[in-house]
Amino acid sequence: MKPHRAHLALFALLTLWMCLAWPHLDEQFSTTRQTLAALAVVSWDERTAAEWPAGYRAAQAVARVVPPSGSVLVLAYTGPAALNYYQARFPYYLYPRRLRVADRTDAPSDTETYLVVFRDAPATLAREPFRGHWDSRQLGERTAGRTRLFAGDRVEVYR
Amino acid sequence: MIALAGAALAAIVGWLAAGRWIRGGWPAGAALGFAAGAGVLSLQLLAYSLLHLPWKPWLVLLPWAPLAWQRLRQRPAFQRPAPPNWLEVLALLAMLAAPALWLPYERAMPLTTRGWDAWAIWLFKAKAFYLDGNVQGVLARAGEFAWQPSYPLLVPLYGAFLHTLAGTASDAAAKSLSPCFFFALLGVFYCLARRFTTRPAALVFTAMLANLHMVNIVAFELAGYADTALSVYLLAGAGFLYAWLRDGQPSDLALASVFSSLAAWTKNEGLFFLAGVGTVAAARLAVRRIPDWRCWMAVLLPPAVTVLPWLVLRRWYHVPASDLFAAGRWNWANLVPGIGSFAQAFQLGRYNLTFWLLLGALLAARRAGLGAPWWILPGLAGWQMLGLLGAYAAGRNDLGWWIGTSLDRILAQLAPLALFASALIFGALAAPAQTEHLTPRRESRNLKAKRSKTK
Repeated sequence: MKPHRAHLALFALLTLWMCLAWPHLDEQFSTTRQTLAALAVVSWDERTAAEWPAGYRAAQAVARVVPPSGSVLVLAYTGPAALNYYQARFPYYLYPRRLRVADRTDAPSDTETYLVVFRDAPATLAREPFRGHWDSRQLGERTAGRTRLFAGDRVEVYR
Repeated sequence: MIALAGAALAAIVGWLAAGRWIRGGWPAGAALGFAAGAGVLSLQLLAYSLLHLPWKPWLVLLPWAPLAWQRLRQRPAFQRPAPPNWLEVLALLAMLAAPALWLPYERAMPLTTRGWDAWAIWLFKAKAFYLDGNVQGVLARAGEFAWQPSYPLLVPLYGAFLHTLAGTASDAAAKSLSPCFFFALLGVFYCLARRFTTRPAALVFTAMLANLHMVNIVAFELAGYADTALSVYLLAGAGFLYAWLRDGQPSDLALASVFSSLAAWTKNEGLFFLAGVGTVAAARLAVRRIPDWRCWMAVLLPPAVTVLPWLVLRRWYHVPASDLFAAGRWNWANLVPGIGSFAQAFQLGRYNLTFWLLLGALLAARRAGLGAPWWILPGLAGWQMLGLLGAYAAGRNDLGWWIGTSLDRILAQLAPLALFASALIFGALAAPAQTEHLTPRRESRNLKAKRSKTK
């Protein structure tokens, strides 16, 4: 094939490729514009909190009051899929603390020094209702002899 | 800034480590240097960890200082490229389109709910390694977390290097590794394509890769995953194996072996790839009765350095294996829906024309006259898909869920390789290859003599 024909064939191929890619590029253009408008002006912390509001704030609170060598049992009032998510995501923010997340107030705590009570956001619970075991009286008994280190909207930390 | 500094340091370390085998100007030096450097730095952190040395940036870079001094004194000569023609300018502009849209988005976004594997596996380990200052602390607690403790450590350790460079556990720095590997992917693709075809064809195909939707998604939306890094190593491993089979230069074999070993050090899929590349290389050396011990060292040494220490360490710490085939249950009925799911590759919205072009390339291969070595490229892509089918048949996970969560990324890993195979066929059909300037003179003469003898 002569060079100019090869160039034309390449040009045609690139044009066709870009036409097929165009809908995604166009969509990404809007997404990027909206994302930059919403997030570029806020700090990294606020961006993470905006993306995962209840959980990230709870993790921050625990990180503030529990030392890195601490061992924590999180009693989470949340749905099963969210619990699975938190079991993976809380350790990301709380490592090297030893951590266990359960959706039962009767979850045994053999080695954990710290107890965290976490209640998920109503919107999350509306999407996926709580299916664990939550006994307020039992929870009261568990926290009664402990010192409350932090109390927020959705999270309480006890020692 | 940390991302750029980390990428530059990795590129320099990689160039110092593998520069003697790398040819093709500054794009090759930067892209292949970064790919090699990320692997070398991760192995260096592993070694420091085992030797109880602290992970200080200066201490990590110190061993490279004498080599850097020696190389700087030699003053590497980079050729000034010829000015681009209209098509090349167009391709360069097209190459910028998707990265220009995606990069600001990736930089603005925190770790998202969608990026499960990033914070549950790869970046979790990176952060934990950095906070502990070693790998042993996390491995000793292997049963405690939801992550896959037996996955290889290139990405987590390179992430830990970025944290070390930042001086703090920085999500933004760690997740930048995926976009960096994306740009390395473009560089490696261009260098390999340029070696075997014309510059316009190499640039056009690189621009096509830059705008491939699933590759963009994996690199930017799923930043922090290991898939983009793996696709770089799969492409480089296969590309240099093709180069060695075609030209017979030992330096290409060394690079094929290094990058295939780094693929195995990145993800478990890479182990399967390394087995394929190693078998082909060893078979060729044995059949051709090539007695050169350096070739055998090139095949055996990189896997020994990258894969063996991790296998020993895993066993030492009783890290539970995620070996798909360990359960010993085979469900052959999974093969039919597994093969059926591969049809996704032909969805224009996700992979554009990539696999259609590969199909065309397979049909036109004989006419293109690239000979047997070319078949190693689609062969290795097929080998990876065969491995995936084996994993499906092992039936460890629910098949529907598994296909839904993994196939897209696996096809995205293979898309650059498929596009590279097509670029070679296009180059062979549309224009004669202009590769003489990239071949060292002495070796070129040998090749010419060999070819004329064969004629």
